[in-house]
Amino acid sequence: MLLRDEAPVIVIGAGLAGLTAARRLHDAGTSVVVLEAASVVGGRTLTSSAGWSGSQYANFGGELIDSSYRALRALCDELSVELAAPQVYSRVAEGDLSPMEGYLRVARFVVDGHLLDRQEAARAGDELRAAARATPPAHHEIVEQWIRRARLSTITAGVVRALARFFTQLDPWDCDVHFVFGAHSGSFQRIHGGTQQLAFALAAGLDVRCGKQVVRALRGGTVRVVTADGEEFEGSRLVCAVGPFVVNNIGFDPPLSEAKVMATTSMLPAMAGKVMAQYAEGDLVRSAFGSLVCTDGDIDVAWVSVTEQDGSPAIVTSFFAGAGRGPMADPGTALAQLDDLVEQAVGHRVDRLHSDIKDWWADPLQLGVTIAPPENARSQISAVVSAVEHKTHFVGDYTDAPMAGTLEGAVRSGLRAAEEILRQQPTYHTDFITERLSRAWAQ
Amino acid sequence: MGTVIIGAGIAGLFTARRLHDAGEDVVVLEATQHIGGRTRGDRESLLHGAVADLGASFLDRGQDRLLAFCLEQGLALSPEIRMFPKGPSEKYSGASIMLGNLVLRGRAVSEERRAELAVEVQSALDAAPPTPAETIAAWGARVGLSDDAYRAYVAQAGFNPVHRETLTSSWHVHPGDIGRLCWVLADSTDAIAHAAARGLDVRVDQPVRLISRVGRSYRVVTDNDELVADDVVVTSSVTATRCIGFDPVLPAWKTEALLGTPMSQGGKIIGQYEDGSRILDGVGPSTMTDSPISMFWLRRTAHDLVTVLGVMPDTGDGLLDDQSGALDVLDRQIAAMTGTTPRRLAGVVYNWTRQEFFGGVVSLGTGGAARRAALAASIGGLHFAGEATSDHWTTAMEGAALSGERAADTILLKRRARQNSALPRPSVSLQGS
Repeated sequence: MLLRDEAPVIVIGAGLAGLTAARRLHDAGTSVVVLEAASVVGGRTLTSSAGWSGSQYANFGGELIDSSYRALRALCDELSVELAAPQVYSRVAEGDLSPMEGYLRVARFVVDGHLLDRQEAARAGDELRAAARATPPAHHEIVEQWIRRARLSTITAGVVRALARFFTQLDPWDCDVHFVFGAHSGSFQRIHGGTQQLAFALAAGLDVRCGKQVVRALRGGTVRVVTADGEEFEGSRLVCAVGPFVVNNIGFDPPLSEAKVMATTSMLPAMAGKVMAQYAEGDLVRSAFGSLVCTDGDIDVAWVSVTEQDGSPAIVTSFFAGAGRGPMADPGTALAQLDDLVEQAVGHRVDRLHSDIKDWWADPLQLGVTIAPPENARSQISAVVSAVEHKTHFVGDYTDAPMAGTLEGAVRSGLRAAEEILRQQPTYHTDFITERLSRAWAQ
Repeated sequence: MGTVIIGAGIAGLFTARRLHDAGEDVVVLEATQHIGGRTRGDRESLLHGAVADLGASFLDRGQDRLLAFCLEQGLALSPEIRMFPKGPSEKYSGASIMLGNLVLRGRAVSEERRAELAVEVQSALDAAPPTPAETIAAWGARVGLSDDAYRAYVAQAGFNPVHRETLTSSWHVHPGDIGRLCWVLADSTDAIAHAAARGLDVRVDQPVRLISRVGRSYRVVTDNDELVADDVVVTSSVTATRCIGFDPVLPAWKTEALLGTPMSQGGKIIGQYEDGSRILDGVGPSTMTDSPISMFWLRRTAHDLVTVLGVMPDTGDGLLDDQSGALDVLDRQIAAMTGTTPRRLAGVVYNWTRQEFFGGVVSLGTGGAARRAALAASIGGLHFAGEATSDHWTTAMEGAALSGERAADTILLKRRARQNSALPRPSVSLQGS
């Protein structure tokens, strides 16, 4: 051997980011082992598929894909993962000063318990445009601070809060205005069969070990990780592909740099989860939920994700987030709130057939749904959290500057880390150096 | 007029007192109906006149500003609590807390076993000390603590800063500066705030929504009033400050500091029990557990009753919103130590995370000195105080008090500078050489 035998690259976490990195490395001929703490691959892209009538399914985690998700779309193409037809949540018009106006034309809003009619929504849109003109938000301004500075009316303030929470799963005092004023696509697709299909397709043929929670990661000449059940894996390099809040669960040795720990512990977790329920009167619910229902109550947004099945029941997925996360701990309360919202949208009570809840904040392997870094600090944060240190590469939705907090960010980060590793110069065996260089020179 | 202070917690009241004593006009605006901020005495929930401290609960040795204040005001400190002794090796460290009472997996841990755990943790701290920011979960995993030692060590996060261990940096618990020797206030902790508020113009039920600069002054708008001031001191919690509108908008560095400083998520649990002396014998003066109630301490009251005060980090299990479920957990921890189920008379759980004008327990101090300085820095006549802005005793009442006096001094310095500049300037004429 002229080159030193390379141990495999060890990927910690089989979410989209980890699997994308692993797949790229595998395709390039690098040996890879993926260690996943949960019993199944997918990370925060799990699909709920058991117990629903009519073989329906719903996404526990990330699902919306817009036209800017180029890397993810290319990956789906490559792996023959099918996208469902687009759903339109917003209609932009000339002269709009914020994407919120587009949402007000299509989505429905419940503010202070009251379902806005089209006229009220149009008035809120007018008020938003006037406010954006009279009190332009500063680039870095906090949403709630802008709402106060612009002196929005109660209803319009409720609309902005609802949309901010829909876009970030954060409370409006925890995110900045670029989420509600920056460019948005109002048209979204989802992966047919659930987002987890992409994870399954990526994992096919890879060496993925589920139920292997990495506890320690030693990073010396080689890397060595120890799992909770005491197994050890040796590798050449490490890809840390766990979510942003559980990075600090792993006992890295040497420890993560102070800058990286500070950057990750400073990020506000989206303390959120999904509550979903299937209703018998599917067509009624689908037409009532035509697009989105956004609220300023505990539920921040609700939608029907699978819309192409006429005559079948409908699954409504709702988000509980931030200060409104409490009811998720008591399924009865959370579902009653969802039932009420559906009743409000439909106009009368509908029959609930089945339900499911995923509280990502309560899940010790995740501790949150996503992150939404402030716009003015985003590049700096992602530079610090994605920096390679001690043979460890960091991937995940949170490490990608432009697409942090999205499925696309996860995929892009995986591709980036694979490139970082493939760019490494292989290590020459001493014999090789002696034979080809030093001895050759001596002769 | 002079200065408007936002928030009647310790920071706001200490700012106000300092300014008031210097002859300044001061109005304190408080969003809630209570004086005291995150110190609050609940005088309704317990029986026989016992008070439940819903928020901050004790003073530590070294919190000299507040100790001096208690001395000056005649506020009694009782009882005195040593949550754990010095050690191992005759020093205080993140391992010392294991020498205090400990319940793991619902069972009391014996003194010998606790000594072993403390030695294990101390050896690890000596051999491979945590970096300051490294989370206590990461450090525990890195040094490979045994299961019991790990559980006990990370349980400290739930006590200080009342948060999940994965998101808590090591500087909070090691070498550790709270719980060694501390005192509970004989009346509730909010006795400090009530004493500090005496003689001040404090207006409750006045949530501030917008602070606008108008010329050289500031207009402060609440839900039902407007005031104009030369200076404004914002002492609300980090999260509450993010909810106030500022016109002109705050500079980017200030917003970055506010958004980069999450608050710990959790609350307080208080139970009142019969057979106080028996429970004190078994549980007192404090006990740490690996249950959702991380640490609790005791205060004896009349009629052989005891008040048990505990802290609960929010782990998403819903217990902070389930009073009876949470009190059952507290009963079980006490039972583990005493051997019998305690007789509970009353109890209350208070979730600070859910309180509109607080949003959490304490600041997490992420970002270290640089971010703390950014949180503290004034912008013209806008000043900032509160535990999160303090360079000393951050997260504690003492830090709040010190930060308030620092903000007041900044304003007084400005006043003096203005007075000086109003004096006729000595005329100096430069002669050409």
